[in-house]
Amino acid sequence: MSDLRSEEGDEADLAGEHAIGLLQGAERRAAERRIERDAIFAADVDAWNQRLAPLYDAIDPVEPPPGIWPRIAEELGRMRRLGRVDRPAATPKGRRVSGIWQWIGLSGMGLAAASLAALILVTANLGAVVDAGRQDAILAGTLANDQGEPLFTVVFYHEEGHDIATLIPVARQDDGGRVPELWLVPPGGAAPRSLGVLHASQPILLDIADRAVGMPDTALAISLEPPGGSPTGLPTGPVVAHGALNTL
Amino acid sequence: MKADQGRLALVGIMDRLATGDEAALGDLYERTSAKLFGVCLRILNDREEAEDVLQDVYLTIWRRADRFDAGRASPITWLATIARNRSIDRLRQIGRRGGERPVDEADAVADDGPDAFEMLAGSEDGVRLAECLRTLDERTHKSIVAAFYGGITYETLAERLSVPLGTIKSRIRRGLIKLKGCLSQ
Repeated sequence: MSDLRSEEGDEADLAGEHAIGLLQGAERRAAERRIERDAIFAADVDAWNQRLAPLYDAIDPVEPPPGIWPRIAEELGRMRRLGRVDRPAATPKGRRVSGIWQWIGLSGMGLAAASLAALILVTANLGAVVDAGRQDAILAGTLANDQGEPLFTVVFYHEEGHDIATLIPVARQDDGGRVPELWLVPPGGAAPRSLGVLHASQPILLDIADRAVGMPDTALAISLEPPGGSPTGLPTGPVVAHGALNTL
Repeated sequence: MKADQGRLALVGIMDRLATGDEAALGDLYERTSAKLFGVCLRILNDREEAEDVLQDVYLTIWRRADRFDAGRASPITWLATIARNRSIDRLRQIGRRGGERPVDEADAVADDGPDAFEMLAGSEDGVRLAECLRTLDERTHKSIVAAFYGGITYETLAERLSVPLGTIKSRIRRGLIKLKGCLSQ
C-alpha cells in the first residue's frame, strides 16, 4: 500500500527514464516519437544523456572485426546510387542523399540486411505542386516494384487551398496480410511522418494540406506494415521501387 | 588537453558528415568504432548481434549527422547514445531482457570497490556523477546503473529484485529527481 501511495507522489521524469532505457514497448516508442516533435522534451533527454555520459567512461573500447567497415561503406554506396537515380536534376546542396535515402540508411531494424520487398517509394520535388503560379499543376506517376510491376498510380493536385493526393492501387501484390501506409519524408534526414494507412485494393484520397509537403526535396514513401499501421510509428520496411512524378 | 583536441576533431568530422561527406564517416569510424563497439557489446553481451548493430549505428549516424548540435551534446556522448539506443532496441527485438546479468553486476561501477568509481574519476563530470549517485540509497543507484549498462526495463528490474513494479518505479523516480538536483548544484 505504501508503495502505491508513494508512486502517486513521485512524478515521472520521462526524459530521464527514457535516457536510462527503463521504458519498453509502446512507452519507449512514444518517448521516441515525442523526441521528434517536442523540442523541449528532446532537450530534456539530451540533458539526461549528458548527465549520464561519464558512465560511458567505464566501458572499455573493443576493436570491431575488420569486416564491418566494408559492409557499411557498401551500404552507403548503395544508398547513394539509388539516390541519384531518383534525383537526376537535383542540385546537390548539403546532403547528397535525399531524405528518404538517408532515412532508409537508418537501418535501425536491420533494414540494410532485410529483403528488399516491402517499401515502394516515390520521390519528387513536391514543392513544385504548391509553387505559386503552378497551383493548377497536376503531377502523376506510377509506382512500380523492382520487377517493373505497377503497384500504385499517384495523382497530386491542388484544389481550393488543399493539396490532394490520390493513390490508386493497380495490382494487388502478395503482401502477407500487411497494409500499405503512406509516409511523408521531410528533407534533411528527419524521421518520416505517417500520413495514414492506405487501402490495398481501393483508391484513396488524402488531403495533405498543412503537412509541409511543399518543402523542396520532400519525398513520399509507401511501406507495408502490420494491420493497423506501423507498430513503431516509423516505416519498418526497406525500399524496392520508385517512380518519379511528372506534370500532366 | 588531449581530450579537448579529440573532441574538437570529432566536432570537425561531424560538421563534414552533416554536409554529406562520405569520407568523414570513414574517419569517424576509425576514431570511434572501438568505443561504440564496446558500448554495443556491453549492452548486448553477444558478439554477433553487436557487430550487426554496429553497422546500423554508423548508418544511423550518417543519416542523423545534420541533427548533431555541438552546443547541446559532446560528440562522443551523442554517438555513444545512438549506439546504446540501437543496442537496446535490438535487445528488446530479439526478446532478451537485458544483459542477462544479475543486477549486482552493476557493482563493477556502483560499488565502493576501488575500480568502480575510479572509472568515473577520469573527468570532473564523472567525479560529480559518482558523488551524486552516492547520495542515493545503494539499491537505487545500483538499479539505475544496472539499467543503464544492461538495457534493463522497470519490469525486469522488479522481477530480478523481487519487488513490486510500483516500488521499483517509485524508488527510481525519486532517485532521478534527487540525482538531477544534486547534479545541478
